[in-house]
Amino acid sequence: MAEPLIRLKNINKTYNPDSDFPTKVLFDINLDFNRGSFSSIIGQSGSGKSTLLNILGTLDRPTSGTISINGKDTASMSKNELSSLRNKTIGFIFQFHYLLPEFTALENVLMPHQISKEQTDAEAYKHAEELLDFVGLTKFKDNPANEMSGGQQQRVAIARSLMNNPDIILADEPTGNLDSDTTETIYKLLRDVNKTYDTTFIVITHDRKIAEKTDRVIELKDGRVDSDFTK
Amino acid sequence: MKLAFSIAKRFLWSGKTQTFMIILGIAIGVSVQVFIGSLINGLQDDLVNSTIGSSSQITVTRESENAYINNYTSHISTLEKTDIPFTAISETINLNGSLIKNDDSKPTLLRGFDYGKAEAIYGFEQALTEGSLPSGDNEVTIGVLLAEKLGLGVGDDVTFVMPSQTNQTFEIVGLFDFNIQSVNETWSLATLGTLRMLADLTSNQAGSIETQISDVFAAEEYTVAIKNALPEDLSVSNWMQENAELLSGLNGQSVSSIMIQIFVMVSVVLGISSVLAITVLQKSRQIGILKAMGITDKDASLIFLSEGLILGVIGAVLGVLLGLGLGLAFQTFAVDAGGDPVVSLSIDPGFIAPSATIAMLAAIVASVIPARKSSTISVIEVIRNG
Amino acid sequence: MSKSHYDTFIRHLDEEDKEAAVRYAWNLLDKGDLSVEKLYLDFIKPSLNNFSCTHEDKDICIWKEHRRTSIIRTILEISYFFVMKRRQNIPKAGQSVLVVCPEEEYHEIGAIIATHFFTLNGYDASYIGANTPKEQITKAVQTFKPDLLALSVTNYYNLVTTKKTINALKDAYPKLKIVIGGSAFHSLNARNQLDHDFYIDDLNKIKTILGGSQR
Ligand SMILES: Nc1ncnc2c1ncn2[C@@H]1O[C@H](COP(=O)(O)OP(=O)(O)OP(=O)(O)O)[C@@H](O)[C@H]1O
Ligand SMILES: [Mg+2]
Repeated sequence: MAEPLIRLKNINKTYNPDSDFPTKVLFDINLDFNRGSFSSIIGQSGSGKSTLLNILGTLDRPTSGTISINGKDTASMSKNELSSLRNKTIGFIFQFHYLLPEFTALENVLMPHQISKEQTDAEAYKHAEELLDFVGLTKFKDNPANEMSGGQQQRVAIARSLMNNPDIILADEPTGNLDSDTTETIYKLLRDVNKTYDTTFIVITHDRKIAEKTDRVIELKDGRVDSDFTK
Repeated sequence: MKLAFSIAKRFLWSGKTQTFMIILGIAIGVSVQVFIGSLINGLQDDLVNSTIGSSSQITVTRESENAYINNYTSHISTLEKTDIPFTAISETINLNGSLIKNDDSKPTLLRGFDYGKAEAIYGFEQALTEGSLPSGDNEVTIGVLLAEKLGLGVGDDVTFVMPSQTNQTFEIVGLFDFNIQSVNETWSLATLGTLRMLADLTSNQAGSIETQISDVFAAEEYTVAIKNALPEDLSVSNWMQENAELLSGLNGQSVSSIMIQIFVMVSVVLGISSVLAITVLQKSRQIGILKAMGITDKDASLIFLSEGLILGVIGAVLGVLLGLGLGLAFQTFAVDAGGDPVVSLSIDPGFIAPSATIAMLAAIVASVIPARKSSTISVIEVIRNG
Repeated sequence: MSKSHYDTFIRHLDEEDKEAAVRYAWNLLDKGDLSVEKLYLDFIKPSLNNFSCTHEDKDICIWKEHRRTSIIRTILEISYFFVMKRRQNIPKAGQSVLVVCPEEEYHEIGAIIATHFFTLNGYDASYIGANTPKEQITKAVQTFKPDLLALSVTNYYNLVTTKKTINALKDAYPKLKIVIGGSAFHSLNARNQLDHDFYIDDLNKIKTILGGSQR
């Protein structure tokens, strides 16, 4: 079988390791994620889901253990290489959408592209507009980000995460604060992306309805993988 | 860089009030600099002008007392060939003596000029209150106070007496007023020819060569250069040697002007850096998001440097305009009874440009600390704290 | 002949003719044309698995599926009459079993059929119900003290709770044998994470449990 897209090996994470009260949050996590898979991570609050996802996304470093993405060990990468990896290979969707309020919807979607390239050509604009169309927000593209509803902002964030055609999308409770209809719409959107672009998804969710529709359910319990079921 | 700049622009635009306040702060700082600087420069110019504006700034004489310069025309052409920016070069012959009218006698300095050349130094035409300058032998133009004391006017005759010399009678053809009491009381003006005749000189001899230069504060340097260019038996003196007190006064003003500028600059820098430091905190969420999207630490820092640059440039430009505006208002409204400005400001681009540049640099320097701080912002913290 | 019986049966179901379907099944069982086991495995199971809905509107499909399930449920209930008849002639196995669907698992047809299979194999079998929380299952085990506990799961997401349920039961009752069955367990990876004693992918294999061949 082909090398997995993401491989976590013996990941441990301790917060404040040098303090009087170190908090060990992750214990010997070993997980592989294949290209194109759609996995969910569930578990009680405080079980370490976000910590794991942040480490996966190179936003945080593990205390020990290795993360390989596309076969490359991220520990050996420089800060700038990690920035570039995040820019090109990984898309993030957070619970609190985190758009840049100073920019319009379209500008937010374009941002990852602008970070990677100095020039924003017509093609990039077209792609951004297509993505906004994909999430059903063409009409709102010139609205300031902070003047949109929560669901709309989340959809903009999804479009933004797709801008650089990343291999991986990491989502931390992407529908955490949305009503169930919007949740359904957004989940369908993510599934569509997964099917259309063969994008690998790892989604943290408290929502059973979403988790049971993913291909794989990983349950964290007290910082360990308690169960890991694949459809 | 382009990205950082456009983000910086947007950040500044999104906090319009705050941005406006910082720019206003910088602008006021710069305008104070421009205004105070121009005022002090103007004061200094006035002072220098009234002290040495109508006199010789570098003077060439014979080393020994009461001796005359031979061959002065060749010396003048030597001077003209140097790089020194002379605005006037003129030969003169002076004789001490007295003017006598009836039983009254007053000491006088009889001065002979080539009035065409010396006009640039003394501005005789302006000083004439009556009559004309001497143009022929036996004609003299005397100071208004001297004339008053002797009870004389234009058209009267007067006798010039030198110790152990024959007396010479002149016709008064004009009166002058240089606004300087000692000059008005003692000077008498005649032609060079008259003076040569009285002193028994040839046409190639002169008492001294007087000059003015465009950069009066370089007089010392030029003096040295002139000494090197002329024969050793000539001595060269300048206004600075004769006006040490004025010089130290001017220096004092310059130092205080610099101090004012430094303090204004320091407060501008502190103001900008504290406001920008707050901006980093305000924008840490955005920086965190950008970092999650893969912006490099360098680009993130550049955002704040760009903010400093933008604020600095706009603030400096506005400041210069405001400062000039203040100056204009001052010149228009702070006037004396005659309608002339109390102090005429000296608007010197060579002074304004550096102070605007310094303000811009200061704004950029002030943004270095927040820029560096931005690279310590951790995405995790931002995400965790919503 | 079984083929044409099946086609008729399916036709009644497709027509949503409950009375005809129930009557037809009853007659087949009553005449001895069909064993209960065959009814379950060859008629009911495929009728549910092969249910296909061509409607554009998904909500209509869901409703139609529920309607079919309800007809099947009635057929299951009446089939118990024939299970009871057969049981008298089956030697007692001397073992008891509780069959249950864990929390959030609502598909219980398989569990009911399994219960009947256990009965037909001489077990003292009882079915507890669908969507049963871990605590209630534990209480039931405490009360009935069965030899076996059978868990039926169709939705793979419910494996997460299944695992918790099994772990709780094994902790409290180390001697209790766990039987698992249902479409959720198809993946070996899933079964490997569950501490079970028997995996039933074919209800005919229930008889092998008594022989003790595990896993
Ligand atoms: N920066 C930190 N410093 C110290 N402890 C931390 C830090 N971040 C997280 N923790 C602790 O680590 C544990 C796991 O946190 P994490 O955010 O990963 O949980 P989670 O599974 O995502 O929870 P939730 O469902 O509530 O989001 C918690 O006990 C939390 O308090
Ligand atoms: Mg979390």
